[in-house]
Amino acid sequence: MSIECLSTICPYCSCGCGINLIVKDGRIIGQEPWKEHPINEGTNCPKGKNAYQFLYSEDRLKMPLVRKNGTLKETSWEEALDLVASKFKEATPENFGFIASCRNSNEDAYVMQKFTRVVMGTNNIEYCGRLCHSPAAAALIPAMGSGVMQTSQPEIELADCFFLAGVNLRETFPMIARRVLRAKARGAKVIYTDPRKTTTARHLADIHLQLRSGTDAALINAMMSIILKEGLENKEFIASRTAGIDELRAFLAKVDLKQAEEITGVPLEKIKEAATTYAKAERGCILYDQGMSQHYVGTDNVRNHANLALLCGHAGKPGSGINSMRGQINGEGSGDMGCLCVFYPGFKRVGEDSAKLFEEAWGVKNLPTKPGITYIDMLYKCPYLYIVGGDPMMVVPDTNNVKKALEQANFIVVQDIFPTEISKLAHVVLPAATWVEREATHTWIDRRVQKINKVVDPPGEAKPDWQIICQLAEKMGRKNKFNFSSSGEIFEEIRRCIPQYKGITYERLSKTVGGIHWPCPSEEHPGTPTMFLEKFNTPDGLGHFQVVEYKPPAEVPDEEYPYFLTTGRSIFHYHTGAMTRRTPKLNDEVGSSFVEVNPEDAAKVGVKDKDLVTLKTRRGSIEAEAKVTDEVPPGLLFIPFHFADSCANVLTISALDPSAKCAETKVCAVKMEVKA
Amino acid sequence: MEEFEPKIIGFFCNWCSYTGADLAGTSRTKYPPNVRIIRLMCSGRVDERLIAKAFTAGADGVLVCGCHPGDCHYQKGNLNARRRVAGLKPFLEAIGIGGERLRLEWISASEGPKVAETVKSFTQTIKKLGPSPLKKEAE
Amino acid sequence: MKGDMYIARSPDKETADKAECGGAVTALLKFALESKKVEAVVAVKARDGNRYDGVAVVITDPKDLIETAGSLHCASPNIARFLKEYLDGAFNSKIAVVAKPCDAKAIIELAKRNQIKLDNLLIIGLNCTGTLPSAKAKSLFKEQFEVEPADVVGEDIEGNELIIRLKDGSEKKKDLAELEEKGYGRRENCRRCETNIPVMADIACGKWGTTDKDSTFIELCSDKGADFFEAAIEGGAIKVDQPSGNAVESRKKKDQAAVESAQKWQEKDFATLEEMSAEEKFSYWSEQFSHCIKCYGCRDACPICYCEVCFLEAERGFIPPGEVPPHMLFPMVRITHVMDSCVNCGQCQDACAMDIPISRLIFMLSKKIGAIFKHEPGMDVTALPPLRTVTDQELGQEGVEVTF
Repeated sequence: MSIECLSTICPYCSCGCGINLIVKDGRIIGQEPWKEHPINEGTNCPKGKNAYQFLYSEDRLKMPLVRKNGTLKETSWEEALDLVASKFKEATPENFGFIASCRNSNEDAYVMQKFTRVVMGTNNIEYCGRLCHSPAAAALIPAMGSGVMQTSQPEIELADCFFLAGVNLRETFPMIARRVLRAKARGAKVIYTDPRKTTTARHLADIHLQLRSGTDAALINAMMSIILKEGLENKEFIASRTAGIDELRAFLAKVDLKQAEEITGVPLEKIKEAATTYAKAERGCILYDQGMSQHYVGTDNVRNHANLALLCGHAGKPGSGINSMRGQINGEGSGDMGCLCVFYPGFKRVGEDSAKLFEEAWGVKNLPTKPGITYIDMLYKCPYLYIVGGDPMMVVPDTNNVKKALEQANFIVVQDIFPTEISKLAHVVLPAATWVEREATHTWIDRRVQKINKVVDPPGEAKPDWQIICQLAEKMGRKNKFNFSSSGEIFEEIRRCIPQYKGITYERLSKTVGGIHWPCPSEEHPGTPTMFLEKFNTPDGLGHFQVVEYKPPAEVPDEEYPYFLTTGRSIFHYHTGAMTRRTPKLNDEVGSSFVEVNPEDAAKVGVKDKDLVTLKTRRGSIEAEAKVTDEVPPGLLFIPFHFADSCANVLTISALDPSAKCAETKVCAVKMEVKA
Repeated sequence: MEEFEPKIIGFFCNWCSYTGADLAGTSRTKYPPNVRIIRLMCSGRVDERLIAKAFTAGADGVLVCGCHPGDCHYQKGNLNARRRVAGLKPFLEAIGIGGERLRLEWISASEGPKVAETVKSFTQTIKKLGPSPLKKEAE
Repeated sequence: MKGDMYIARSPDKETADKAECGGAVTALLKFALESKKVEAVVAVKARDGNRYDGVAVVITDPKDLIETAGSLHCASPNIARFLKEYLDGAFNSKIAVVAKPCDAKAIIELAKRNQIKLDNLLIIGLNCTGTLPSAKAKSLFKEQFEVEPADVVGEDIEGNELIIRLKDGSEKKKDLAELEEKGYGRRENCRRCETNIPVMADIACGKWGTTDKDSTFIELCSDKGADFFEAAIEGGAIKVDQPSGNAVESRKKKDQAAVESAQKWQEKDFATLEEMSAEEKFSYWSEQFSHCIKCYGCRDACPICYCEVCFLEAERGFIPPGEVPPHMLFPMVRITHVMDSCVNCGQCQDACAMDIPISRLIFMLSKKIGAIFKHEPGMDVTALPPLRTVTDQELGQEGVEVTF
């Protein structure tokens, strides 16, 4: 009768909610609330309530697999890693690419970038964060010195005005919607921008700016122009904590509000209401996500929202700021660890200086000094690929072309917990341990580092990601630099190399429910919930305005492709569905893909609810079941990206943001036909 | 302004009240057409879910008709219905739908006139109460 | 005999010192295990010594009992659910369970529904006037008492005061009503709970009626409880004295005062829901339910809910799947299925991410339905749920009215 109640953190999104797992004889048999945890206090969202079932899915990867005569066959670790090592020895620093994951731990991520730089001699290390929050770094580093979330989750409740920019909060971050709801109960107002009338629009927002896809920059320019006209800008803040207002003022003076109304499709009265509400607030809080980022003007969008925050003085205090909503369990952490082709660990920009720094720290020579290739480019340019915990065949736009490129690859290694679309193209597939099958740290959305303890054994011969990489490094003759026998040892090295993590230890984490926010410079330091309280992290400590001109989407509807297509999520699923589609209670809610069609549009082409339709873009076509609803306005179709058998990215366009190199998955032109 | 015509769902038990309704029909007794009668084997079949479903589907009122106590074909089905209706009224009251929108009547197979009376009086009651607030949700 | 009362303490000094009120409960649990009357004990312990992290534990070795000694006021694990989900409802083993009144009531309700085998349980009830929400208690101590949460080694609710005992031996106290006005204090359901003495358990244990800090007042509430306790006395496992008439009176008076306070809170809580027009009520609840994210937290936590495949699940095809907020039928069915049996445990409220006042509504309805059917949930295992049970008496009754 040995039943244990062990605490851990939910494996899904970036909120970091606590849960208790009930473990009997080495198997998780249930879960219960963990009422002490500060993020969720014993509550959870639907995914968090069904956190562990995926671990026991039938098709967990248990053994290494090597492709022989076209089929993947089980083999030993020896054989698999020998093959990988021999193949990677053929690669060069130019043609090798490592794509790490937002889901692997900090320890895993750290080892992966170290392997790529030390063993493979290249900065071609990326992670899926490139696809979503790269605009945060590109826009906010110049603006405020860092692209991280500026306040902490509990402090969100302090705000009296929220600007939810391109984030369907109720479905994508329900536990943060909870905070907004509490602030609302105390009088806070919620402004929301989204072309769709989602549940966030209907049940959380006070002012819904239902703008046309991709017109965010124009909307913000209009708002800022109104704020200046009414004299509602925060003059004191601008004078003491910012630079560059004159250029912005001159630019905004020329904004034509009537034109803005036409471009955005939002009535001027409403733009005005939103602008004045935000400007007049005591503590405005911008929460933004993919509705802003995943455009080829993503960086511009984030720049402009940063302008708005600085203009109104809503930055540098708790419950305020412009906050990028990273969505994954280690979206922040893997970036911190340096899984980016332009950053060494701790956001040290790739170059001579940082290479030298890490040569000293790691006791190696000749670290690469040139920035590497970004994620999407890697798929087309690197015939040697190591892909961990992610599926480029589902998350990168223009899937058909991605497939063509990957089919040409010399050697693809995929390391994951389930078979995925990309594993179908892999030459070697390695089984990884995940979540509570290993001890590890992750860094959640508000720079919150928490530790996950090992609660059960991984299945079969699956190993922690870092361990696999270390064994590979050993096979490639670099054991001495990868001589880690525990994740704790890796974390010690992380603390030495990354100043923001210096004061965080496994021991402190074990004793601190809710974890520790970085920066944490010493073991006595309590951690930093809110950034920029005194000054911004820019060289002059000031927030910088950046003029943004509106550019329309890369592809707009025309005769042939008459609708806008946008993509997004359902509360019941998580990203590519690898985990949630294997969780019956979640998959029962939404078992297959659907396309939202406005009733007017449906009537025009004779589409009825539940009809099977073909969606076609210039890139490819897929089928989905029609869901006739006024959640989308006329002229817009919406499809979630959770379903491999109806892959949204077959349709999307690979227009890349020039600074951030993320893609415009949020808008392209599509046509729809009823399937005969 | 059009006069409000209530939509009422009537759950009538097979053995007594539905037969009574038949009798009212064959006797050409006039009564308002506002009740859509749904025949169940027993009023005891009517549970919270059915009543809730009727309201969320847009019913302005729900009428449950069963055999007189002692006459239930299944012994105590009608007594179950009695308890459930009594228990459901406070709930309907609490969430603002209104307990008077739910009524229970004992009607025997021979009580054709009672069917007519009940429908007439209940329709009047609902007319006075106005459309159910759930109706907007149903649309 | 059933109904007897005692003043009791552990004969073992270590237990008496570490535990609350002389360690009587721990001593009884020890006896239960050592005498093999039960195979396991279910109690609550502070995980890793953290008073804000109370978890249910299953103990089979008497040595481990000392870990569960001492009352934790900043914890409220779902004991009834734990028994039902993870210990097969005690169908396969004899278990002694430590239960607050709400836990015991929930167990009784589950027993009515054949989800827990009451015969296999020995319910050691603890008096309770309320627990504090785990996470918020820490801010309470920090902000209102100005102490470090880690320095608090004990809490007490004495009449109108919340008293905390600190590491350094000192005590601090504050008026509970004042704290609760500010939004701190006990869990909402605790404030309005009239059941302070667990008379529905086998044995009720508490400090009311004691005159020193090293004793527990015991009331034997069932034959099973009486047999067990008398065996414990005989076995030297517990030291007992007779309570004075004054002690019994004092206990009654304190209970009465707590009941009155609870009833005031009930009035207050229910007034917020009752004093609205029908339009306002509908508008209020439509808005509240529109916040729901279909996490099923309330349903999972509720001790009354036990269906293997609940009607609310997508696979039943009754609630349209994949929608948030879920169809109005979701809260309607959730509420109407349990409203005749709510024991006011507040576990549903603790589980709701969107702060929907669901416990307040359901308990209010449960009181109204209780009044109609002269029924009190959780007290008598033979009093079956009123909306699901027709009595023989009714069957034979003459002139049954349409209304109840």
